[in-house]
Amino acid sequence: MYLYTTFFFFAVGGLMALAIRLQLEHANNQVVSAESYDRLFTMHGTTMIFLFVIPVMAAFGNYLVPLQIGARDMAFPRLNAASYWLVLFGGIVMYSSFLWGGGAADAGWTAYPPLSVLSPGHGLDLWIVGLHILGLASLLGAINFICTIHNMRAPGMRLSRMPLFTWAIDVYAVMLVVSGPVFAGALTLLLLDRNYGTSFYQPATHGPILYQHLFWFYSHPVVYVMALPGFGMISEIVPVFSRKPLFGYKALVYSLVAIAFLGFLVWGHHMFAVGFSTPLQVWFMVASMAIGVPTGVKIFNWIGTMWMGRIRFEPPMLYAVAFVGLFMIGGLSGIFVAAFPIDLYVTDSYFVVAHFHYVLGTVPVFAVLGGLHFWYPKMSGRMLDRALAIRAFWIIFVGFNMTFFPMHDLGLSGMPRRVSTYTNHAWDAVNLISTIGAFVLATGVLMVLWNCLHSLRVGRIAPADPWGANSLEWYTSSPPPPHNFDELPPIRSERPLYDLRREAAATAVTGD
Amino acid sequence: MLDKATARRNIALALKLAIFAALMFAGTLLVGILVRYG
Repeated sequence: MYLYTTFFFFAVGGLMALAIRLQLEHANNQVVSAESYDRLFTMHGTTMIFLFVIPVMAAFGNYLVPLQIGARDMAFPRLNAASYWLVLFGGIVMYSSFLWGGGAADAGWTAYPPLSVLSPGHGLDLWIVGLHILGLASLLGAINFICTIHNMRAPGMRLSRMPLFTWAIDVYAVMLVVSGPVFAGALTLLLLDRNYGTSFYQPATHGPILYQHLFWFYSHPVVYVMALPGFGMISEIVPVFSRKPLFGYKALVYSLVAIAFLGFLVWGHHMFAVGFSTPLQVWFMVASMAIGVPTGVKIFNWIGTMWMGRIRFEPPMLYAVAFVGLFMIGGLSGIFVAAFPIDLYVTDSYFVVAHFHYVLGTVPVFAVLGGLHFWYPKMSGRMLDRALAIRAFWIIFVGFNMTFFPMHDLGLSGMPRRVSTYTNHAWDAVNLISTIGAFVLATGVLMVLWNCLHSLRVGRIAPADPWGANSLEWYTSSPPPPHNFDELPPIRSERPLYDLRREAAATAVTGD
Repeated sequence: MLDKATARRNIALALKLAIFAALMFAGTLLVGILVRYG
């Protein structure tokens, strides 16, 4: 249910993106009004972040964490159900704002004051209430994950043997518990300013700057809340299809924790345009660039895992390899925007839009879809249509790059973000390429969804371990029984299934 | 069914995390009040 709901919101957010791209297809276009455009980009960002990427990671986590650690279920199954229903309810509250006279929220997903304080109607109030509900869902889910991972591991499943995806969900949960309440506090103050006459965010006392600090103290870690489980998925897929152990398991775990820790120290790089003192700007710049070190460790280790491996380019591996390459493009443009002298030139331009779609867009499109192709047989008991999956991958790959790569050029030539139209015809051709790319990307995603739904009925029956994988979830049947495992194998390393296969092979050779 | 000891450990950890989250929320409100009215 979690997965279906989050993918439904993914489709809604995607439709909004298509409307945005249609509007920007050429100069002076009038597909939607300026007011509608503001609502579209606000709700597109909000939907993709809060109703798709964050909860879809929880959806995968709910399903996979108990399986990967050898538990029967999550620590608090009813809390788990409450998290799901709160996600759905929060989404309904947020989208109900379209039905009100004033329309939906229109101040961008960042909702900076004073614009957000002055935004008329109740759209922004419903947006805030919806986010509070979603925040509560995240918090309950995060607490549940931490309790499950730390208290319910099977005998032998030490922390040092835990699959990387479960590690990533653990770090994701801790980051949500630390940062989520700060965002809830910032939104509460905003709600008070809008409805009860307080003035926390009034410009005269630098209130908007206070909001930006509070907002980015949450929202920068949230970048990693979204990315780290994606990294975990890639760390599961790459060794299986390279036929090799994960290169540098411990380094990958330490880099997860290091990214999370540094993620809390760099929020100011979103605020360079505010005009900090130079030492503070230098701090945020250096700390932001320092995140490149553990991120580089990850990329190095994934490539090290593939190096000299017998790589099988099954659909999940295609998505994983694409993710590594495309995320690096986002990382490299990140070095530019982390440097405040450059950021001041490109801030609020399409260069930033290109950067964060190569960072955050690659997670849902390549890591999550890679994970979906990888675990679909386990979840459904059916195999996907391989040929269709590969065709869809290439269409998505071409569409994604057609959509977002040209935005670097648009940004560097001065096209601002968050404007409903433009007058410079020099940007027409590049915007047209980007718009066509968005439709190509949407076609690929639709093919994936069709493949998933169609294969539920007609897909080949999946064995327990169709990929020759290493972690515990592949030991049980596909789909697993309600209690997950009839019996557990001995867990003596981070690859218990590989150990079993090796023992079976040794027994077959020696006949013992 | 979970054994009692694990269930108790789960509840204790969940409560600690919930209290921590509540303190972070209250702390944020306090920062807002101090910056504006302090």
